[in-house]
Amino acid sequence: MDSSQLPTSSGDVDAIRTSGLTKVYGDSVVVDALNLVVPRNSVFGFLGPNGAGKTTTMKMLLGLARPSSGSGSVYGMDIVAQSPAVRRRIGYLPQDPKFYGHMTARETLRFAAGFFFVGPEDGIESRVSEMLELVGLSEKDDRPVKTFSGGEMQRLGIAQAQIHKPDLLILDEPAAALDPLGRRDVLTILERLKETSTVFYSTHILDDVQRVSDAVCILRDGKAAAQGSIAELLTDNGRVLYEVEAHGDLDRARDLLDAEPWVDEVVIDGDHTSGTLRIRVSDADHAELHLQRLLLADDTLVISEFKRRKPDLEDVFVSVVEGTTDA
Amino acid sequence: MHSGVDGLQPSLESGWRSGLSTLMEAGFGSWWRTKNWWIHSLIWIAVINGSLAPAIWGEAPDDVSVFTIYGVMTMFAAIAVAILMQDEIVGEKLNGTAAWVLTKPVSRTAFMVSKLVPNAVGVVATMIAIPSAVFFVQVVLAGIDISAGLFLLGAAVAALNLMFYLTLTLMLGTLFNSAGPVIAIPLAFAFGQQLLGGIPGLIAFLPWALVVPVDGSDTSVVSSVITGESITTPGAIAVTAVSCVVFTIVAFRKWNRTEF
Repeated sequence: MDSSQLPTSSGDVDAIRTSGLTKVYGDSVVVDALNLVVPRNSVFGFLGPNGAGKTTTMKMLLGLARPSSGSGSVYGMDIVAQSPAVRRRIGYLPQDPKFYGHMTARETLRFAAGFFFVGPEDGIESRVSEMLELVGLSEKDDRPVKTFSGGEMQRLGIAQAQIHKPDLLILDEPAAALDPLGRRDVLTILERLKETSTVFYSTHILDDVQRVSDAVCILRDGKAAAQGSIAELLTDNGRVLYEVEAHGDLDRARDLLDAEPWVDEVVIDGDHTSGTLRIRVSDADHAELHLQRLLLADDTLVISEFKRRKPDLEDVFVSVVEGTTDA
Repeated sequence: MHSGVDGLQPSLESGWRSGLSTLMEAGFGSWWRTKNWWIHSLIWIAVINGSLAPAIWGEAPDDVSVFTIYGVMTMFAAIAVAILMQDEIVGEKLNGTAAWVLTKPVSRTAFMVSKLVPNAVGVVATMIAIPSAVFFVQVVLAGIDISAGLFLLGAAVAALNLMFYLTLTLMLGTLFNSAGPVIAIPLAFAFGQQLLGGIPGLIAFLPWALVVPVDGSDTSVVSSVITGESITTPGAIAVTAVSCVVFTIVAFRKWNRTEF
């Protein structure tokens, strides 16, 4: 998608909407005219390589950083002018959660709850206990936070982000510090939360995104290089990927294919005489008819395997991040 | 909101007061719901009263020197304030807790108020008010002539000196991103004021003159106020008070623009 055009959504007021949102630090444009639409009650994956601007975007939504230009809204409220009101609707889990070390887990959640509720005390206590139970910290509720492991901090981070049952959860790499079991638990929580909240999260674990997300945005150099539902991105605007295992002059085969207008990209995985040709085509029908014939016409090439593969999110991510696709 | 928080009464704080009550409760709690308050109180009762006991209970105590020493001893409390407060803002910036708190419905102003007010009350109460009350009792028991009202005013001047270092340290915490300058500048200033005494007339306008006799005088502002004598360096009161206000304004403005 052309990032200069504002995406559309079907819902009432979107959970998040940004228009030309930009953040500049010195000479560096970290977020570049970002147009983003996150529909209500979706699980939205926010992807991109390190330094693409994901965390900075989240910080602007939360009022921790001020946009250099452009605007943004959360449930229709301006992220600058109405920042405290915006944050009342948001629960946030930072990449590396930090809490007051002298507080216990229970005190931390009680403290966080205090920003949203004034009473009754037993109701707040009950909510705190519910959250401790949700993240499996009930047995450690009276331990000072400074004694917690990275995984426990992450769990406490999820609990504090959820303490007020926010309409929007913003999670920055929620599973990064977790072991496989912890990661599975987080995904289960995300799927459960989808029923009541919008979840906007960044991650590098693309399998997780494909499993739980409804839609994604892939950032490249601060711009939205691709945005849409998982299904839309996986069709990749009609692009199809072929993998051909072959022996022979692979460079010549690549040059031959590159000359065809319906071939987007050819990558050789292996050496120049033996390996796999990964061929991305823009016209699946044309490729279906001509690709195999074209390769077989080269007598020096011995093909041991030829298969058509539907691209997965990782393929889309790599092609978008490497700049070969603007979905 | 959804079930699970149904029945909970939402906080209605808005504008600059967003999050204020929770932060103030935590700020006051860090002084009065922990051992902090009585440890500081005991230390400063011992420092101020222990140092003054020989002067008070010695033969023919000299009122002026007793109250002058009292003022000088509160200067140590002012230095302690700079040391105690060094981590208050910059520490939270560096360890990420400020950023965490500010992702809640909390205004930047409320955050700063919660650093300024509970700490001001805490240090003034434990380092000036409680030790000074004990000192006052000692003085009365020793039969030294003293006016409660004037003593209260004198203690307020000593508290103003503390507030100078408190607001200076908080301001520096908003301006710098490392603890070094935040502690070094107030301490260098505290001790460097004596060197500034070489510039004619200048020291009479510095906070130092509030608690330490300067320019060849036998009395500081604190001791002059307590004994009802005329104040020889009134400019120090005005300069210190204005500095506190300026430091506070700069701290609030800078904090409102700080990004994380």
